[in-house]
Amino acid sequence: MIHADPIPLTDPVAAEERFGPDGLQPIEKRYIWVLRAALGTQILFWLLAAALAEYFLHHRFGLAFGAFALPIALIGILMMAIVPSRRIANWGYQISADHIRAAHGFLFRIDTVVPFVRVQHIDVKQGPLERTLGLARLTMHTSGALNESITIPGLEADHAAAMRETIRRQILTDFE
Amino acid sequence: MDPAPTASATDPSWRRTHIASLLLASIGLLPRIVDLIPAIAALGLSGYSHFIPAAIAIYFFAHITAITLKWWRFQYRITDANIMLQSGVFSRHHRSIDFDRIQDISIAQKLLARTFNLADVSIDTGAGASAEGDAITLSAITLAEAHDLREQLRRHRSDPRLASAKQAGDARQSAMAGTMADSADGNIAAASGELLFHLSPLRLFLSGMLSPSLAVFAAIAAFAQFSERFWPKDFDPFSAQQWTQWMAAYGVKDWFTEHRLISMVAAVAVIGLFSSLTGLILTLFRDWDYRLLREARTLRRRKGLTHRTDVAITIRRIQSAIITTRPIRRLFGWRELRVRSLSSDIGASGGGDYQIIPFAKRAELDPVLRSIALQPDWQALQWQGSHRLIAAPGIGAGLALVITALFLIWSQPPLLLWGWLMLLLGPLLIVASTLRARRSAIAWQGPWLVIRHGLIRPRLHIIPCRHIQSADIRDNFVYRRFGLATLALGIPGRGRFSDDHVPAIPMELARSLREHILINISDKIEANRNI
Repeated sequence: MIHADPIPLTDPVAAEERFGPDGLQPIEKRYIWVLRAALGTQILFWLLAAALAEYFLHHRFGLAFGAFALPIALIGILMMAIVPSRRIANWGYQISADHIRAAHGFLFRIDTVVPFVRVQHIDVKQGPLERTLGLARLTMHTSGALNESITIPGLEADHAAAMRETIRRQILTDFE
Repeated sequence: MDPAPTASATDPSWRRTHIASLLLASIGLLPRIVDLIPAIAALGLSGYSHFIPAAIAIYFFAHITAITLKWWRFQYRITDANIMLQSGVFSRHHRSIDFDRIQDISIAQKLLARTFNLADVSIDTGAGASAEGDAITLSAITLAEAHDLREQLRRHRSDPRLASAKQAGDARQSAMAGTMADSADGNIAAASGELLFHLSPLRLFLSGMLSPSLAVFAAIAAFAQFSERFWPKDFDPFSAQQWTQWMAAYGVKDWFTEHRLISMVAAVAVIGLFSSLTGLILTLFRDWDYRLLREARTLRRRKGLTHRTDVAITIRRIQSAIITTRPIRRLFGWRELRVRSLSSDIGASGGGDYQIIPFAKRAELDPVLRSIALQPDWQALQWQGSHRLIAAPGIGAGLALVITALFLIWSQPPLLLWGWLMLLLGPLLIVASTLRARRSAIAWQGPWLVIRHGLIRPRLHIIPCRHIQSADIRDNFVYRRFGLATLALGIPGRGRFSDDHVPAIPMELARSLREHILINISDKIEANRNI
């Protein structure tokens, strides 16, 4: 039968951080601006498409202006209010003695565990907006067909660098 | 500047591939004549049709010149420590591959190459299966040279001086030293190579008969479509009426209408016979003299009648094994064994999934699995099936079909036939998805996980925990209500996602299985560190 001994949590980088109900650590709240920017760009794109469609349809069929754009704008505002904050709330990660765990999503939740020894290489990435916010993303690559890369976004830049060092020390070149 | 290219002109140790490779490459051009069709069409339509032969001649001349130049400029050299290659017509490309880096060497012989006793050699370096330029190929060298190369690699490995030098290396090298020791004690076996499996002629015949192929009918249909324009005007082979008229004309119509059942049985028998024969012929060519040999550190698979391949699979790079089968042969208990490896199969673009036994009884697979250290203790496995919930989409679709069918039958007489067809398919879909859901299961025991799925082509994936790279627990708003989760595993080598996950098992079990995997991985690392 399975021996499910609990693995001691020895978090070397953020010792007394608040742990979520699932033992998960939340990501930085500031990351919401990155999500908002991404969602905003998408909505803007749709608004532009709607405007173009309306322009042509107005001339041909006398469609009222705003027939597409208004609903899109309304839905966009609603999504802006709900989606980014929910996404942030559902993100979480946890560093244990020998593995890292990253979970996200609510309707479809994916909770991934990668043992440190299985990490092939690590990237710390920063976009322009993330840089101004002082945030970074940590991406771990494995050699599995599934989860070729796992990203934890919205980390404090220093924290991400420290995590990278922690994991890097644990990586053991295993020849299999 | 590297002195090699200037030296190569005189240095006899630099070799070119066999001159016959020019001929082989030129023959390879023939199918590519299709590339010319647009040009020929353009010339013909624009009234310059007298230039067409010239265009074809220029095309072939240019390509053959290119082939010759490439052949002239491609040289290789085998020393006792590495293989060196140089290629490129205008810009020179040098490459040196140390024997230490070579995992193994596979040899393939196509029909034409066999007549010249030539072979293509592909060299598997340790770079992952997906890496660009992973497999380095020496095309068309003599078979003797190919075997020499392999022998040289083997000698290099078993040389004790080299092995001890390696042992002085760092942590990374210690893993290598492990394999050196492997090959040292496996050397006697390497000399002969233990025969793990051989497909006897009788079995070859049986496996051919049991793998019916509809390829011939597809070919006939395609040909019928293609040749339509050459037929008499009023002939349509797909018209039932036409055939009825003909049968009446030849006076056999009454016989067929009176003996409908016999005719149908005969038709099915003819189709069955033809597809069996096609399958038999295809199998004969593909699996002729199929052998699996176990050498010190590799499995060697030889097969093929005209296109003979000799593939080496490094045992250390094998990640997991898959036992599978196909629709008809499964009724007689025949199974197929495949392994997922980091290197890619010869000639296969997908890569990663090698067949090692094409046709054997279940009990015969165990010794092979044991030989590559992938045999779980079957009796001790604990099984947990997926929740029946996963049949829901299939059942839903089946019900939708039935409802649509009833609607059509009641109210749309012209579509009556479709209605009956859907009424037949709907319940079939429901039954199939229910049975399929029951096949989906996971088993565990010590360091092993086994994932089972599939109804028509069942697959059993044997996974050692030590090869798992990551583990996902996935759930969604439906699963959460039932306390279920999907366990998905990251396993190296390209594979099907369906082999690597088990849907809808209890959340608690998914969690403890994941814990179990983590403990197994860290145990193994501990063990490695202690050595």
